[in-house]
Formats: sequence, structure tokens, C-alpha cells
Amino acid sequence: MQISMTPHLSRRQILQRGSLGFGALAFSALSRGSMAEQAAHTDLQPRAPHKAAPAKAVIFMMQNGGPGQMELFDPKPDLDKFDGKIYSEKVEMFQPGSEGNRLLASPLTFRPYGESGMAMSTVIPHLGACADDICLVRSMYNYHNNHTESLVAINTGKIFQGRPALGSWVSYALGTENQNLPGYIVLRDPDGYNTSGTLLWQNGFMPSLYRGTEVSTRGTPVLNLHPSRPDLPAVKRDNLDLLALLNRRHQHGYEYETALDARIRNYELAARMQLAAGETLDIQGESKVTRDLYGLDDPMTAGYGLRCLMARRLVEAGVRFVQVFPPVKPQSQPWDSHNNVKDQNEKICARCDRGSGALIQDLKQRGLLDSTIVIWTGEFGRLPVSQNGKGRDHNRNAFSLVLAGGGFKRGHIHGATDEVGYKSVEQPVSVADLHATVLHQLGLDHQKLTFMHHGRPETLTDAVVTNARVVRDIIA
Amino acid sequence: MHACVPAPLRPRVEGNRGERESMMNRFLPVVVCWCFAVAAGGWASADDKVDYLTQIKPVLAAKCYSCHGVLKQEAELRLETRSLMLQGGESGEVIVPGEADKSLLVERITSEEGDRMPPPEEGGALKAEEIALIRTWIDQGAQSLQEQAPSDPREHWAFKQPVRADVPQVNDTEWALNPIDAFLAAGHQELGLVSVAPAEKHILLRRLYLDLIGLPPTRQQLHAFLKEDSTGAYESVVLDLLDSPQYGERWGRHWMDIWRYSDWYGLGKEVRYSQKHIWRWRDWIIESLNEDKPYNRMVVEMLAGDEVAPTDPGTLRATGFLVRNYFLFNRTTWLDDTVEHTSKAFLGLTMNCAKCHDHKYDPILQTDFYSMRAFFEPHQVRLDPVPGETDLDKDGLPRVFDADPDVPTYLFIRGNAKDPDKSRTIQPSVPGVLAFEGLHITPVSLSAEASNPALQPFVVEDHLREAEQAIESARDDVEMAKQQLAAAEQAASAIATTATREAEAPANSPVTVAEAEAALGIAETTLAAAELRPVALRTAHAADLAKADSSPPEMLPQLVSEAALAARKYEVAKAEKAVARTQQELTAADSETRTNAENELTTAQTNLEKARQQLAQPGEDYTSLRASLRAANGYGEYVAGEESRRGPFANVSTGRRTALANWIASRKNPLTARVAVNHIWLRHFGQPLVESVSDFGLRANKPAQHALLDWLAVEFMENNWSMKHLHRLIVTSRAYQLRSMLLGADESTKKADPQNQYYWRRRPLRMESQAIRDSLLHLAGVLDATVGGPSIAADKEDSVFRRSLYFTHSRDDRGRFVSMFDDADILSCYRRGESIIPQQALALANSKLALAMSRQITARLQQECGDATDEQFITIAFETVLQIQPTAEEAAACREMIEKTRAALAKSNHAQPVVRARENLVHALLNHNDFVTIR
Repeated sequence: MQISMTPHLSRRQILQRGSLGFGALAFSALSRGSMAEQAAHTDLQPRAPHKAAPAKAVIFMMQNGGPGQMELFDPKPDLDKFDGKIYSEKVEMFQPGSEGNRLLASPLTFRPYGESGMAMSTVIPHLGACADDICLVRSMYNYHNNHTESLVAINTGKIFQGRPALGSWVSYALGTENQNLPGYIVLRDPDGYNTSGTLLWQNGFMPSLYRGTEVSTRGTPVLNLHPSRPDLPAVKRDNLDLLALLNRRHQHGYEYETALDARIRNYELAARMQLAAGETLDIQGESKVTRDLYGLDDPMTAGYGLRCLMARRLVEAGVRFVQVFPPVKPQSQPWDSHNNVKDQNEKICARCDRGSGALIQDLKQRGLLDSTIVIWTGEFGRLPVSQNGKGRDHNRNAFSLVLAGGGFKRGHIHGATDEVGYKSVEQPVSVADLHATVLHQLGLDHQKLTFMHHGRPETLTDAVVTNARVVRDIIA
Repeated sequence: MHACVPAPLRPRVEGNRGERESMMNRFLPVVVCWCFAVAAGGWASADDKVDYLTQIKPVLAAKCYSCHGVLKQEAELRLETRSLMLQGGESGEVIVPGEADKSLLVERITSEEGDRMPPPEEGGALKAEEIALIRTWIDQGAQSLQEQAPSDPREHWAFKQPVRADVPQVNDTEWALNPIDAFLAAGHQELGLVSVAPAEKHILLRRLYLDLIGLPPTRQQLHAFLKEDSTGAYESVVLDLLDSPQYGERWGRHWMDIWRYSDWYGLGKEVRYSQKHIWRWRDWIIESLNEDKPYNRMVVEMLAGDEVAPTDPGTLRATGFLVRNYFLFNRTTWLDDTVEHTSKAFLGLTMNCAKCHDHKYDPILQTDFYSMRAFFEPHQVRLDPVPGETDLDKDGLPRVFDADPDVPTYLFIRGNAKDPDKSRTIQPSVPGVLAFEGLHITPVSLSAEASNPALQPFVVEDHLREAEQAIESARDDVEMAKQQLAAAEQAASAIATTATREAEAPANSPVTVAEAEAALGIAETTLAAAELRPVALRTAHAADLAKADSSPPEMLPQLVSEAALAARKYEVAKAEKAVARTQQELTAADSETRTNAENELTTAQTNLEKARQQLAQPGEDYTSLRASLRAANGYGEYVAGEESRRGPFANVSTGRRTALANWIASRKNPLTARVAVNHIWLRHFGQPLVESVSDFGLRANKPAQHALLDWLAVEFMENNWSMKHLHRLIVTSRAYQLRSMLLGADESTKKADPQNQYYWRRRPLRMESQAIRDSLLHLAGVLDATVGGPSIAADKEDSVFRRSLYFTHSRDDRGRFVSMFDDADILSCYRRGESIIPQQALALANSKLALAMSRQITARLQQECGDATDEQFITIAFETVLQIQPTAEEAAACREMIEKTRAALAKSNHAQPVVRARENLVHALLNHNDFVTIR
């Protein structure tokens, strides 16, 4: 037996019949009956935001490892001037190797990009080419110097594990447009997981409907999407028909049983997902120009580039939230340049820059950028002092963030770090502020978007504790 | 952290969330009505009449009660009722009806000085609109209805010891046999509820099997049971299943959920969470359940196994419960988890809510959180050796021990570990409301073997065995080196004598004579060193034993001398080996490396010289055997290496954890038995008696079945905390055996108790992820029944047919099949989720495992019932997979499908159309709703 599309419906019909999709899936903690705590949304039907807003979707390009702000986005002439000198402030180290506290000039060079003249590194020419569409925040900070805690924070709001990811909150709040695909999709390197793996797209205390679904850009896009042993088309239809009949027949005795009903429809949905996932992810129809734009024919850029292209296709198909992860080689946290900021940045930029820039450009030319928030960020930045000679250790106190589309300012630089890039000092933006602002651009009030958990109305930003606020200055 | 309650529970002003509100309203009436009220109220104008109950009280409750309420009366002030406000505190009345401006309450909530209420460390200021409402209310006369002040929290039902109520007399004789039924039937009688009929025998049997052992009955077991008419048949199946080792596996997995089982994970080889070999704790759980170890004893062993049985490795395994919380990077996170989950798992207390401030609902002070932490403050984690293995990476026993009895516990101001209040050392104690008797903390002195596991006889034996093996292998190496040298010499002479006949020169010697000689030198010195190792080991062990032993000390000097002499000899041999090695390096050196090699040789020769001098005066130093490894205290210590973490360890344990464990395990503790009973009940019925299974605090309302819960808790304790006794009692109740089908159920009953709080019917359950996979394997007849052992790599779930609980289960590693079906969350899983997502349909329809098992099941059935007709096969398949017989309609549909499939396959020249068609049928049944459902 295998799942296939229901025989009576054409492809077009299936793709149009959103009402039968995730939205109709009546699953819930309620099906356990009794006093379930949460009786909020239990489907992914599209829902109106709190108020009208520019953005409808999010693409989050997570750059695990901590890209160095002074190498890429935040030029620091003082570092050149005082290269090798002992820094007056004793920096907060994470690993051994920076005890000397000696400043390290960036071995990379900057140049102005676009009409805005935004200064960025020469190793990211493709992101640089988008300068006039970018809102560059140079004054980010996070809460922890270890990768996992910091990654968990930038993805879920707090350093503690067990909370829902930003993508979970967004799909919980807004549902999704395409009822044949999951609302929150994760595109990771098919060769493996980045640091902290699946922890970064957890549903936490929300139902698993809101967990990020991994979609693979190689082989079968979704786990078990196709049977390991296919049947003849006529045969598989018979099988499915039989299953439907047995379950429906069974339903007579079990009226009111929402779980049974949901499980029957689950099979229909799985069948549609098979079709929709296949169609959405089939890039045969993409032009040579597009292939070149994303660097799909160059082995260096093909892997990450393909994930960026898929992200565009998924958003185009009505997926609410897509997360793109970087390569896992040469290391699972590819931006983590402890040993040599020059070599390590050059290597990873050669893989990631083209796709990142291409995605912004492609969204723009398709008219999707205005309604799509693009986030490009690491979990933290790096120290101004050298580690092991040529590297830099983690720095939670300052990093740079690239935003594009979704109603953010264009060609704009927000905030600043101190003279050596150690701390964000002007208009600092916390991770909670970022989350509040992203929700705001989606028409969601971060204090009103709540989920009851253990009797507490939880929010993504927990503004009472974090003082999260919407950063108005970066909104167009 | 995330579960804590924000100081200011702000009224939520909802936009387009009306529907959600109204749904939540059903579940959280109090919170929601506050929200609505303020939403509806908004800004109050002087004309609007402010309503105290909906507009004022919720604000005060959220902002003020935690310090000015029944739990705590700062400035002797309570604010919970109008009369309490008028009564006031140290500074007199706080409201003057009709005159907001003269009211102290308004003054303090609007103050911009340091005396603003609530104080900043307790929460944010009131909002302007909230203050406006309070002003208006006071100006309007501060009216309210007469209210009772909240009562003392010690009166909370769950904080009072359970009392065994008399079993109610009920009219229905069917419901009078089992006390559980009597309690429930009394409720039915009172509310006029009509229960459904008992389930059919085949459904009941499947329910029982899946519930007690996590596997469905075989067709043979089904038929045997259906044939059996005697009244005791059901009970005898119950007893058999509870006696089966698979009971411990099934219920072990449940308790692993609650006790947060997790295999170690980290980065590469770096252990960051939990510990290696933690599966030994899992095996302890399984074994303890199978032998029906009293639950309270299990609690004691998990929290303090190292103190109550310091030299019993079987018991030490239990402390995996604590070991599991190990976290390399942050001791406070580690202890926070320990406190939080010890409290939640055993007591149903949310102690974690009091880390940064006093608990907002329960009588738990912030100090109480740190007093709880103090029980665990001295404890640490280590790996001890196990017989037969000297490499702790390969095997070992993870356990806890008190590493440092003197480390103080401080309260962290606002929960900030960087801001400890060092003015006061916090002592271990339990929250006042639960201090039913004094704590007795008695230090436990540990035997030498307990504080230094290297002294255990098996350790030296294992090392000696290893040393003997090293000698053997060194001998072989010498032999080989000799042969190589001979071959090299032969080759050299052959070349010399037949220099003109180069073509025939033997090419079988890749090394020169000099190289071969150097290699032989290494081999011989290695052997010499290896041969001295056993004596060094033996004498060192003897000396260590003598030092640790209290036996007559006169032998000690001699033993120490012998050990020192053996050690010096061994060191000389090792130094000789080093010289031989550096000599070889010099032989092989080229012009570039020669100088370096020469220097190294010189160093080695100097070292040898030193070693020889020391041999002349051996002294008293020797190298003791080390066999344990304490987990690193932070990353720095991890990087520094293992040397400082090898023991021996403190020879006294503080006894703190034993005291805590005894308090939890006490017959007088009002929470322990209730919480455990509730967990067990939940897993039998799919719905708990107390909804918030990990929170029995003040927010947990008295449950509908309070008398039953208490009766069971007392029954449990009085039967030596026997879980099997409880299981037996529950599964033999009539309530347990009811139908899950609602067809024909009494309409008014459905309306009166839709949530089934009175258990008038059975709730169908989705199997847990592990039960689904295990059942597939079991039906296919491939399930490997081996119990226990090291965790199996998660990616082998398709190829190794052990039960699912034996596979690695950590944050980073878990089976992909099982993770589709709401697998246990390692961070917290007091209750499994039951989601329905399309990936589950895909997993059962398309995964390698499901397809392979449907083939396997079919093959097995074909073999068992060789020449069955389609009709017979259909019945057999139904009975095997679903334990039901097909209706005529179902059978006809299946027959039609088989025929069509067979025809289609035959037409396309498929090799085995008959088998394949039947496989497809079996596979369809595995996708049937009732395969994953426990009816």
C-alpha cells in the first residue's frame, strides 16, 4: 500500500482545495479530551494578523558559528591602527587563546556598495550588490557566549531549551497560505545538521503541528514521502481505497472521535503533500539565468544556492516561514573562525555569499521582496582581539544583522559598535527586539501574541523580562 | 525558567482573538475573565462604574498579592479583600473610600521614588490605565461584595495527608466489587450517569497487552483467551503479563519519560549533557519494576543510592536520575534542572517558579528553592569502573557522589548566579508548609572501596589481565622483529654476494638491517617494560590496600617500599624504551630532522640516567591505580585533562540527599504517593485524576475523584508502595474494562460529563511511538526479546530489532521513525503528546520499516497457514494485526482488493502476485486507525 493522490481529483483541484489541507486537520490536545490547557488554534488555516502589515512571509538564513562583524559588515579602522596592541578593556573570553587581549586588525578589506555606499567586505560581493535593499543592523547583541545557548536564543527568544521557535510562533499566529505544505519549513544541508541541530526549529510547548518540517534538497524532499517499494499505479489506488473504506466503515461505531476523523484526512493530506512538495521543489523549469544567479552549476555554491532557491520557491508557493541553514562542511558551525579569520571567512563566503545575495535579488525581481522578510544573521559576533594568533573568539556583545524586504528600510545602517567592535553602543538591538520587530512587520503585536502554558500566557519575547520593543528606526 | 510566572500578569488586550478567548474561557475562567474585564473596561471615565471583581482585583492579584496576601504579609498588610485593605498594615489603612488622593495604595503605586510598589525587583509598575481604574474605583467609594479572605495554604487538599475514605456502598453489584469502581459508581449514582457496557473480549485483551507489556497479543493468545470461559481467565492474563519481563520494559519507558531519561550528548567526543553508559540506570528502572521494588525505595535509591548502598553497583545505577542532569558548562543550570525535576517528578511541586522570587501561587519562598538546591550542592558525577573493562569510554558506571561537603549554598538575588547573597549560607531544608517532621541529616562514612573504587579486587585483576596481554603481544612483537632482522640480514648478504645479478635480489625485505635492529630494540625494551608492569601494579595495589585498611600497620612500610621499588624498576624500563624509540627516530632521520632527533635522544638518555639513579634510592613514591573519572567542573577543567579528576574521592558523604529522599519517601509526605498514583492512572486510562500532573500546588483544583485518588494513595503506601498491586487493582476494575465506542451511549450522560471525569466510558489512546515500532516488530515475529544492555545507535532502528527503549535517546540522536509519533521530549515529558500530523501517515505508509514489516508479517502468516484461501487469509490478517475479525463488508472489500491487485500484478508479469497482494492487504491494515489506537 502506498499513499498517492486521491484518484477523483485533478492536480489543479487538489492544489486549489486548501480547505482539505492542514487547515481541516482537526488535531489538538483537545482530542485527549479533558482540561487541556491550550485550546487555541489547532490548524494552519491562514489567519489575519492583529493589524495590516507589509510582510506575509519570512526567510531566515541562519549563519551558524558567529560571522565576524569586523570582517564582513562593520569596518573598524581603529583595529588597523592598533593591530597587535593590548586592548584596554579585558574582553569576555569563551575559549582559551585570547589571554593576550591583543587587538587584531581585520585581514579582509571593505568597500562601499550600491548608491547608499554601504561599507561591506569584498568577500561578500553578492550580498554587497543588494546593499540598497538591505537594512544593516550593526548593533545587535545576544545573551550567551556558547553556540547552543545563543542559537537557541536567536531562534526561540531565550537561551533555555524548550521554547517554540520564531517560525513556530509565526505559523501559530498566521497559519499558512498553502494548505498542502507545512507552514514552517527548514532547509538544511543534506550532509548533516549544523550545531544544535533540530533544537533550532522545535515547537517547544506548542503542538507539533508548529514544528519546523525538514525538507531535503537532495533525494526525497520529505522523510518517507515516497515508498521504499513502489506499487503499480492501479494497485496503489486500490490500496488507498481499501484503507479509506475500512477506516470510514469503522467510523460508524466511533462517532465524535476527532482523532479517527483526523487520521483519515491525514492520509489525504499526505497524498497532496507528496504532489505539492514534488512540484514546488522541482527546479527543472528554472531558467539558466536563475541557475547562474544562485550558482547551481558551481560545486562550491550549488548546495547552499539550491537551498536559497528552494526558499524562494516555497515562499512563492505560499509557505509562511522558511529557514535556510549553511553548509556543515568544513565544520558544523562554518562561521566559527577561531583559528584564522581570513581563511575561514574566505572559505565560507565562497560557499554562502552567492546564494544569499541571489535570494534577495530574485525575490526583488519577482516582486516578492516587499512581502517577505529576509533575515541573515549569526548567533553572535566575534571579539576584537586575536585568538591563537589569527582567529577570534565568540562575542555575544556585538554582531551585525542583515535584514531585507518586509517593509524594512533600504540601504540603511542602524546602530554602531564601539571603536573596535567589541560592544554595541549606539542604538543597541537585542534578540528580543529583533523578534518583536519581525512580528510587528507581520502585523503581530509581540505582547498580544500569547500561548497559554502551565497557566502562564507565554510570549515569544517575554517583554516583561527582556524589555523587548519594536525597533521603529529600521522600519521604512 | 520559561515556566515561571511573570511578576506582572498583565491583562491581555486581545485584538482579533475573540474565538480563542472564548475557548480558553472554558479552561481558565479566572485568568480569562480578568483579561476580558480589562479589555472591556479599558480607560475608565468618571461616569463608568468600575467593577471591583473584574477590573480591580485581578490587577491587585497579579501585582500585589504575592507579598501582601495569605502567603506573605509584608508590612503586615494583606490586600485580598476590601476589608483587609481598610484594616491596613503597619502604616494604617491603605484605601480611603471616596478619596483616591488620600489613599496610601494610590500613593505607593504611583510613587516615583524608591518606595514605588511593586518594587522593581518584584515586577514592573502598574500601567497608567490600571492606576486610573484603581483611582476611579476608590473615588467611587471602593465598593465590593463581601468576600472571604483566602484561606491558609496548608489547607490545600494536596498539602494534607491523604486519608482513606470509606469505600462507598453502591447499588450496582457489578460496580461494587472493586473499590475503584465503587468510588466511581457513587459519582455515577449521584449525577445520574449511565456507564457504557464492558468492551468485547478481543478488544479488552489487546488493551491489556498493550497497556501492560506494550505489545499486542498474538493470534494464538487471542484465540486461547476467547475460548476461555472461566471467571479467573482475565485475572490470570493480568498476572502473567505483570510477571513478564516485558512489563518492566513497557512501564520502564513511561518512567523514563517522567524521569527525563537521556543518553549523553555534546560536541564530538566532548560530553556536555548526561553521561556515557547512562543506560545502566535504564536497566535499573526495568529491573526494579520487574521485581516490584517499592516505589518509595526507588525514590531513595535514585536520589541517594550512593549513600544508602555505597558499595553496591546495582543500586548505584539508580543515581542516573541525578547524573542525567549533568551539564558541562554551567553548574547552576545543572542544579536548577535537578531541583526543578526532582520536585516535579516526585512531588508535583513547581519549585522552579521560586528561583528568582517567591512563588507567585504556592507557599514556596525563594529561599526554599535554594534550600532545596543545598541538598544537591555537594554532589557531583563520576564514572566508576565495571568488571571486565578498564577503558571508561567503553564501559563504566555513571553515578553521583558528594564531592565537596563544604561548598556553601547562597541565594542568588533575582536568580542571578553572578549576584549571590553571601551574607547568609543556606542550609538544606524543605518548604515550611511541608515540613511535617524534622529532617535528619546524618553524614555517611564511606568505606575505602566506596571512595576509591580502584581498590576493588576486580580493578587490579582487570589491569593485571591487560598487563599480561600486553606482555604476550610484546613477545609476539619481539619474535616478529627478530624475523624481520633475519630477513633484512639475509637480504643484505644476498645483495652483497649477488651484486651483479640485481634482477634476482630478494625484494621481500623492505627494511634495512639498521632499521630492523632499531625496531628489535624497541620491541625488546617494550617487552621488558611490559614484564615489569604486573609487579608494579600488584605492589601498588597492595600498598594502597594496606594504607586504606585499618589492619595492623606494621606491614605498611615494607609494602610501600616494595611498591616504590617496583615503580622505579618500571620507570627505568620505560626510560630504556624511550631511548630505543628515539634511537630509531635518529636512524630514520634525514638531514632536516637529524638535529631534533639527536636532541631527543640526549633527553631520553638523561631521563634514563635519572631513572637509574632513582632506582638506587627508590623512596616511598609509587603510582596508585586510578579507575574512576569525575565529570569536569566546567569547560576549563575539561580542557585541562583528566589527571586531576581521577580520585580518590571524599570518604564521607553529607547524608543530605538521603534526608531529602527519606522525606519524599515518607508515609507522611502528602504529595509523593498521590503524584505517583496519578501518573500510573494516567497511563492506564489516558486521562489523569489530577490534570496538572507535575503541579499539585494551589492552582491544582481538588479533582473530581479526590476521594478515589486518596484511597489509592493510601492503598499504595499500605501495600508497601507496590506498583504491581496498583496495576492489578486498576486493570481489574470495571471502569478500566469499559468500551471506548460511544455508539449507543446514554445521551444525557454524554452531555453531563463530556470530559469523562467520572469514567463512565473508556478513552481510546494513540500508542506511544515506541509501542508502535515494537508492535510492528512483534507482529512480524522478529522482535528480539533481549532485556537491557548498552544503547543501540538510533540510526539502526530499521535493522536492529530490539525494543525501542534500548536505542539512543538524546537531543541529537533519536530514531526517525519513532520521532514522528510524539516521542518523549528529553527536557520534560510528564505526559506524552498525541498529535496527528501527515508525516505519521507517510511513516506508516512509506517507511522502510513499515513496508519491511508488512512483508515479514505476510511471510509469517503464509508459512503458518500455508494453503489458506483469500477469505481465510483476510480473517487471519485482521486477527493478527488488529485482533478483530472482519465484518462481512470489510472482508468483501478486502477480497475485492486482493483480486484486483493480483490480476493487475499478473498482467504486468509480477513474479509473486498472490503474495504481493496479500502483503498489500497487511500493509493496509497496519495503516488502519485501530492499529495505532488502543481501544
